[in-house]
Amino acid sequence: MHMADALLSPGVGLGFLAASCAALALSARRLAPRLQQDSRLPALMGVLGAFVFAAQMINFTIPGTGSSGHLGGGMLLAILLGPWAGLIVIASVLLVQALFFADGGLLAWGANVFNLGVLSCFVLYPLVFRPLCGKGGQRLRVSMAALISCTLAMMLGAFGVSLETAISGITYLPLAEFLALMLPIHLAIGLVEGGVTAAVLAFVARRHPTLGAVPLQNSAVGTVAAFILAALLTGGVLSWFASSHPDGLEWSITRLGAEHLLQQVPQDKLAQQLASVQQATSVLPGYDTATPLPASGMASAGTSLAGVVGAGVTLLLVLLLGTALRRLRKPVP
Amino acid sequence: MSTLDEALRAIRRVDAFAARPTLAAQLDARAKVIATLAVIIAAASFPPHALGALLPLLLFPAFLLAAADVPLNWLLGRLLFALPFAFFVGVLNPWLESATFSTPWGTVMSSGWLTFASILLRFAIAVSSVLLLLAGTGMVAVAHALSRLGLPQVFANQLLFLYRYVFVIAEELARSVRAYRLRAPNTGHTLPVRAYRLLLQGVLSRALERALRVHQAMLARGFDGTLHIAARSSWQWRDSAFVLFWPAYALLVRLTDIPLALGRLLTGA
Repeated sequence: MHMADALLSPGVGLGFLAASCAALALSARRLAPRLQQDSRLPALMGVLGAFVFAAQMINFTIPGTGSSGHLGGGMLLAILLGPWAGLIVIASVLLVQALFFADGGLLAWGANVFNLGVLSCFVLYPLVFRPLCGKGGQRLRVSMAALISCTLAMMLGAFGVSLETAISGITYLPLAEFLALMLPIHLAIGLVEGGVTAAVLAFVARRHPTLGAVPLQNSAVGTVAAFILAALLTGGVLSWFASSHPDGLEWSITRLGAEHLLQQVPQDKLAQQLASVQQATSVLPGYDTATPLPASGMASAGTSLAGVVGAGVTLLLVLLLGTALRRLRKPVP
Repeated sequence: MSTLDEALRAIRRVDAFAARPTLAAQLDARAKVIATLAVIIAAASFPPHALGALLPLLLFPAFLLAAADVPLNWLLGRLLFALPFAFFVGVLNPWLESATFSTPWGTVMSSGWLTFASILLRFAIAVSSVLLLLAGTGMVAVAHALSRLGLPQVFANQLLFLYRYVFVIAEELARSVRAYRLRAPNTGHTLPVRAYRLLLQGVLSRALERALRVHQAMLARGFDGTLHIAARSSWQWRDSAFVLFWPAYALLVRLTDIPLALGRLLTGA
């Protein structure tokens, strides 16, 4: 399940883009010594990336549901290549999907890398898979660890998509209902993916014992995982209280009986102009998740005749300009 | 024909578009990536009910469509292919939103229709811009541009490796799926879990063996850890103009409701 550009606000999209680029930069830095020691790693990463890309195109039937799903691949890559290389590979797969098939998008790429890569490689791999797998690499333990971590990865990914959609506020689908739609089916997909991943890992361990070995965990991944969990906890749980309770300054002003100060509009002309620019360009105005309909109706095309005429003329102009450009273009020698 | 075959055909088609010497292909890939991102961010920054004000942003994909010399039918087909998720998330809005609005012709409608239409319009702007960026640029140039824009070199290398081997691995998987379907003609569009697992095991095993052969071949050709790409273009004045114009245009569209201003001018309202 990929997040789409059309459902993201720029604040959420750019925030996740920055977080995922930082995770990629960290992964690249931590991977550099391993790349120098193991020159077969780039080929392995490329081929495994192509494998996950292709595997995602084939759907399996989810028994008893009439639905279908496909491999996520983030956990499989983290287990086979290690978390640093795994993140880089899944990020590349997601970018190719976004560019060729519009599966996700350019702005949503960061959110998708976070949902399907960072959570799998930096959270579930060190905190769930490794402890469950143990040091002995016993087949049953590895299989159970893969099954549980893949299921959790699928659920967390679906939860991420739902949460990002809700906090972006572009659609009015309530988070609880969205989660109720998303989580059960992704639990089923995750269980099947976990079973398939466990079987594939067991097969690789038998056929390619050196490649199938679980890479040693780098202790830094645990630290990164702790930071991400703390950030998710802060952003996902504590922020629910942000909009319902006044901050310290607002509380103090209210206690002073000077609430009118909070509503006061800047009188200075420059301040008013800056305030209007800020309002127009704000990516998360007042942390609202859904902007109410303007009191006057629609600010643009919709309710006023001028808006409808303007929208029609704009479309016509775009069409004319596009046609003119196509006619004007000449093959470059 | 399986989904995998269709996907490979789609990738080859985009490659064929990008390989032609079009106006879009002559622009530096970095300029196109920055401009595309700016337009998508501008579209995403509109309030949920914005509809008419978003329309001028369609000029960017219209320009790319002309500059990349890509058939409109191809673009519409790809848009339809990518539509379902945004459509199904947005289509419930008319029933979920309690607010209403009056249309110019007097009827009252749920404002959810506006947000639904707005989601579809954002989708059309964002998706067509990304698809046309690639159709007018090509994967190798985009990977090179991302690296020059600051993404790690190892990531750019990975993109190129993935892109080179996706045809080989995907064709292998497609062959395996085809062989399975020929032996089990009554299976539907999706595979039973057991067959899926066995197919993946076989293809992954062969993929790993292939990776080792690829590595040996790379070493034999003097691979030093980095893929060297011949620079296809250098930054020119037209790239500066492109990268200045489109983000500025996107900002103007974001700050000014151009269709409403045009409508007022024409109707005198």
